[in-house]
Amino acid sequence: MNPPWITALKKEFTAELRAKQGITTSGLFGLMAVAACGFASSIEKPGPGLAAGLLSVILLFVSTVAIPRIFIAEQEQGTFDLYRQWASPTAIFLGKLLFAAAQMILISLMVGAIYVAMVAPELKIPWLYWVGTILFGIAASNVLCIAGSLVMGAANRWILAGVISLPLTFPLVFMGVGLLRVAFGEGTLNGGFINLIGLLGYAIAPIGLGPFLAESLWNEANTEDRKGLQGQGATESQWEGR
Amino acid sequence: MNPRLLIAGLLGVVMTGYIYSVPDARLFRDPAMARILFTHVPSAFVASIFFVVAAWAGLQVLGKGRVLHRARLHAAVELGALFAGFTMATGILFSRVQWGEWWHNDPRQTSFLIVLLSYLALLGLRGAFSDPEKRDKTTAAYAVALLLPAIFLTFIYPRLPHVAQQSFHPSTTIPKGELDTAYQIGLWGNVTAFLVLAFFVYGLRVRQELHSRALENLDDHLADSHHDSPDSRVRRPVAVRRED
Repeated sequence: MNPPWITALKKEFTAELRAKQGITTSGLFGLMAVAACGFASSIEKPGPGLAAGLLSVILLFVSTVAIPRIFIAEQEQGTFDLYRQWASPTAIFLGKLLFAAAQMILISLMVGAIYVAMVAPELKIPWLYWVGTILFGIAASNVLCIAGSLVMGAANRWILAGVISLPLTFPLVFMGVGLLRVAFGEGTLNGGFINLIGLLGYAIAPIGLGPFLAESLWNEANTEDRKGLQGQGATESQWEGR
Repeated sequence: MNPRLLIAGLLGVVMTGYIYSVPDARLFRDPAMARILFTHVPSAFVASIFFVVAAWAGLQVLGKGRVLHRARLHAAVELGALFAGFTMATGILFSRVQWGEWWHNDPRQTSFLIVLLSYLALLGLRGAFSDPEKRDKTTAAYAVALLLPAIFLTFIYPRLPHVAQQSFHPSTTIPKGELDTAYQIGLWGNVTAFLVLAFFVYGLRVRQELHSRALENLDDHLADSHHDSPDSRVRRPVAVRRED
């Protein structure tokens, strides 16, 4: 018998293969963003720093569109309560996180390839470009899974997902730009490695933090103690004692 | 009188007098305006402390979920955002006087703007939940998740060598002890005054939140015990007369 998170992952893949909405629309969005950049830059190729920045921003916006949807759609379809009865919050979160990472790897490869063909200047270190693009996609996906899990029950959740995602991803953009500009031939390989390790850390951190937050947010048993507090003007020490 | 308020008031009076007694700073475009340091740096200091307090309270809310921790979380988030806003406002004023532009695109200015926007996003997220339980827990989770980017943007990013080279912000003056003694006394005196005042307000806000929740629970209790009155959050359907 599979561990619950593998079953949750299979469920995500099955749902995606049935509807084919997430990858198709997010991939299309990425392609259109690259085409827009190509259109804006016309026949001029951007410099290494700008090229790295543009690709990071494209990947960031693609992930902002693609990842929170995995969580929000569950709430909007009304399937989340049933899902939660079947699996633990950790299993659900990990299943969704792994599915989101797989989706972003695919989209990053596609966007990265078209970006090189249409917009980017000549690649100086191709392997670093591909490692950086994929790692950036995974890190963005993992961070945005946290944002997606937070906004599930909120009003205006679609717009709010974007608003709360961006602050969490600014360090990621900084490291992504630092890494990709080296791949385009600006900066030292040593600096590129430092950013690579930073990105790796940023990709791993949500795997530890996310399940903890999901257990706290989605576990109905772990709820309020405020119902028992009927007294007026309780002092701080009385509240502390509870 | 509350001793913390008394201490904050006395410190405030002493420090205000002191600020005007220190000599103008050299090497400044407008030497008198260097005194903005006495409000700008303490605000940033207090804001950073409240971000850590909010994350710590957030962890406690997610773990134990006690009402006191919830009240502390909300108070810390609000005061953190308030002092971050004050830091930003004084920074913009300094930018105008010293660098000639309201917005200089200095890396330090931009990174702190992102921190401020992050905490405004946190307040936005908090306002998007009508259920208090979900509101508390989501605010707590986001406050915890924001700590790492906030530390990166406030302390690490502006000090990276290639970023520091581009910045005009005098970030190394205080750590390297390059500040004049008179200014050092003024600065740390003001940091203390700001901290005392901020934690006094924080204590008040925590108590206010606790009383507000206690009243809300009492209201619910009274509504439950008198079965004729509905919960205040329940909206009764209203009959609409047909006009034939």
